Amino acid sequence: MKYFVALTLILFSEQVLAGNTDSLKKLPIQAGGRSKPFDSFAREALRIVYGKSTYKKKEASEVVFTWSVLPGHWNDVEIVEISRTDLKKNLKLDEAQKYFSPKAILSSPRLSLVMQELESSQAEGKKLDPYFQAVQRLKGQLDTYQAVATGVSLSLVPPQSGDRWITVREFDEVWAGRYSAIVQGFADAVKEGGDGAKLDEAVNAFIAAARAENPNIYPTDLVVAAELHYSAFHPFRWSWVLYLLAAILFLISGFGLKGWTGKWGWAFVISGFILNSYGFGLRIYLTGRPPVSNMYESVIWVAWGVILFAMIFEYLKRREIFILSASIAAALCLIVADVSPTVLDPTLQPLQPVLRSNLWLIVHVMTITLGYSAFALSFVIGNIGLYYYLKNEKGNLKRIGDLTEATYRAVQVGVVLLAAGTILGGVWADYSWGRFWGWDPKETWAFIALVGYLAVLHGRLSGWLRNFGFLVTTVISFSLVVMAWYGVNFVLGAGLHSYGFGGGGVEYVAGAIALEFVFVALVITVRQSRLKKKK
Amino acid sequence: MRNLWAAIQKSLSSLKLAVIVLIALAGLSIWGTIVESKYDARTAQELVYHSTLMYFTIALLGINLLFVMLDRWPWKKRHIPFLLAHIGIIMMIIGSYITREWGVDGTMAFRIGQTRNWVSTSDTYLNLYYSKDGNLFLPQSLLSKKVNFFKNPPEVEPLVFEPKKDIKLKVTAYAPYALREEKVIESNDFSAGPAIRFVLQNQFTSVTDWVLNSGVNGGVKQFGPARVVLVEGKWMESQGNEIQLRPKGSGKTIEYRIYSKKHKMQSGLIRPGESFVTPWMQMNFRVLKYLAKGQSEILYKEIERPTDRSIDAIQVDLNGKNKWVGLNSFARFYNSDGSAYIVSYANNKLSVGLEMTLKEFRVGRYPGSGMAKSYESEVEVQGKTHLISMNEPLKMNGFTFYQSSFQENERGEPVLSILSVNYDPGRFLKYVGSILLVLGAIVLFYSKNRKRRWD
Repeated sequence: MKYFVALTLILFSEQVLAGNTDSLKKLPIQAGGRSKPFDSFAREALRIVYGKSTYKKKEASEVVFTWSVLPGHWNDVEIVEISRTDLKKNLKLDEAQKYFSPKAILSSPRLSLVMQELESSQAEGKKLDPYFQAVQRLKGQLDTYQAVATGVSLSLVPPQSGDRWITVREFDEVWAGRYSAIVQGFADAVKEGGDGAKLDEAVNAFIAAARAENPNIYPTDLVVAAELHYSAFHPFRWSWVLYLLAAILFLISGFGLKGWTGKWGWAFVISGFILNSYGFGLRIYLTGRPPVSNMYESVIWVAWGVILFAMIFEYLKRREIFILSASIAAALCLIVADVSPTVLDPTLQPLQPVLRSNLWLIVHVMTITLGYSAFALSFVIGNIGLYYYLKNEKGNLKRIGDLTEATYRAVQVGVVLLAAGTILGGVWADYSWGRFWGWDPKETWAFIALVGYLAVLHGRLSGWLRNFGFLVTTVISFSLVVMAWYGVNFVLGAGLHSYGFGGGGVEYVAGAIALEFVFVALVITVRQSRLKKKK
Repeated sequence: MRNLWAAIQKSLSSLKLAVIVLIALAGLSIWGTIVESKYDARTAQELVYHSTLMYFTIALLGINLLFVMLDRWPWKKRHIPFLLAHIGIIMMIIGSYITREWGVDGTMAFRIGQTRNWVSTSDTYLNLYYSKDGNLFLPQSLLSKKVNFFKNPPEVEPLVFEPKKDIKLKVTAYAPYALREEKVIESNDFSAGPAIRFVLQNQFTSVTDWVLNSGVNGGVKQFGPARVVLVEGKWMESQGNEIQLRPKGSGKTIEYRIYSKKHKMQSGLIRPGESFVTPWMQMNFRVLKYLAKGQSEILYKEIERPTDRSIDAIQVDLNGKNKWVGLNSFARFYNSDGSAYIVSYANNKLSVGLEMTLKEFRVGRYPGSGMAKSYESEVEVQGKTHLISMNEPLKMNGFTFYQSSFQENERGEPVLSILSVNYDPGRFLKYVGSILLVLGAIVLFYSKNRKRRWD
């Protein structure tokens, strides 16, 4: 008990803990259908409850571990995030506040009523509106917190037979002893001057004993180390920093990519690409599958594809515009993926049944998203072209022509990949569901994007669209890709591809598209007025 | 005449027409996805994807592609990729038409142990049967008619059938989205039993319902761990947490007994409007209404937007009496001599020419979680056992059986497997067309000999 007192004192001081509790992170735990290091579990739990993966500069593993050993303390800490004002109002909570203590929410007299409303709404089979989505999130937050606080989600020991690990709540005396050694070690580590040696010893002893129970289903040290490294290192974050630096250097050096800026830019792009691929490889190693099964993974794959295409085009065409545009597009993709963990879930999750063990499925998704990469490239190049129209059309005719051709090439590649990927999707659906085409919203939107770009290409062929019209329509057509890629899953929320569904971020995406339309409208108006003046 | 033909040919082969058709196709599809998001997949199919306008647009695309190719005649070697891509699309359109027209897309739903030799398809039929004793119906129907009320609502074109001299069957209304509701109403039927409407509530839950004594075993209403029983005459043997009710005389007062397991814990008298509190779960029980003779009636409440539980329903009128019938259910119209006419509104049942028995259904889960990893049906056909799982269909008798979905009972055990059953004669054309399209497009875009001006 005295450890708890020591812990409480330190926690109340609300400072960064003194000692080193890193050893805790490597403790394997079973959660969400797979085994993972405690670090990953804690990050996910804290992100669900609090919305971020650190709490006041404290690491997730420390915070979440103390939920279970000191629930009395955490029950009063404002750690549950509620954003919707109407939900706070219905729970009679302070609307100005963003975070609430579990106790404050659980003691709200309206909580059971609100939850009952959610249940009856679900029972009616209606789609949940944003308010009920928030109620559902709150339910998940409370469940997650309470499951840790009571120990029912701390499945730390593999069974000798079967696959459900034993939780802290079910420990016999021997295991309780081993576990309390960890708690003691933790308390020791967070004391003034603690170095965590005792904690490390206790965790290692626990791991060795747990592995002896059932070595076949217990993760190896290497897998655990790889996942800890993946979480701590953030390969995709480094990757976007490098892409961004490259983009800046390329912009400084202008179109020739000559001089030291161009050289360094290339060095940065290539290092970014290597890190992007490395992060990808780590995810494949950890999940045992190609990582293109949710929105987050597809965004990262698109970033990778954009750079890949730019390098191929660069090699074939010797036009520097490709790599410049690609580093901008890739940096944007990875930044979006990095800053919005609640919308784009970066955690490692097992696959849904429908997605399992099918080569064609993976090929179909990868082909379509590579198509999106090519369209993303055409979008950025097209915008650069429009920028030159805005700046000085007459003085840049040659450059605009080059940019239009580059855009045209990127669109062509995108069309071929999107057509092939959509058809492959049809083949897979035929094989797996028994129909080639069923007008499911996801496939319909892929079709709409395809038909949209085909209309643009044929508009150009028929002579309806000149360079300017082609650039304008290409850039606008990218909103079809955004709809097919993001909108179907996050806005429409209907259909068979529901395994990729999520929520949030709609206002930002809609804002970005609106901004793009405003830019296009501006370029058109400025150009029109210039043409009129000439006459 | 020649000039007119030339003009038609010119406009049908124009690239500008292609652009317009493509934009129309995109626009229609966008509309379809919006309809689906607001309503449901079926509405989008009926209203947009399989509408005349959509078929016209796709046909126009096919004609346009054909004329564009003819326009290039005589063909040269450089036309090959262009021709491949366009022939590919035409083949895909024709293949899809064949699938739509002659293919089968059905579902087979069965419980573990059940045997099926048919699938239900999306076509709907209106059937009329006659039953001498009002219960069993004869296999032969007086009427069986394929109907699509979604496309042809009876409010616009009333459907009237007179299959025999003195029978007049009318479909008077159609609700595309309706919720099934069971209501208890007063009955004149001498065999009807008493009914009581009650509320059972505590701080966690609140239920308002009827308990109706149908006469055989007493009326029973089960709510998770508790039940309400309406008896006449003798009290029944209790089976857990139970409230038994026995109306006295005209029903002004009702005797009640509360049991826990087999033990009687409390008893007394209660009148409509009064209440008592149960010894278990502290539930407040209130009697709202008493009917000496009640019968249950199925109603369909029309709603504006579909939900997961809504179905479509029709209102039928038989010789002046009218009733609502939901999809895949039926309504009985009794005659004075005890016989009855039965009207059913149901999906088409199509024979697959073999008998399939569901032996077992398994859900594989990710270790230590409720997350499903795999679904698998073990079926028996002609004494042989086969496995059908997600992504691993079974081919037999020209049909392909796919694992599509399943249902669980309240305890989370799978009880029902749903297979998607399919026959697709257009498959070959669609596949060849796909390959031609993709190959053609790749070569077309890669070829460098077509210099365009980037003015």
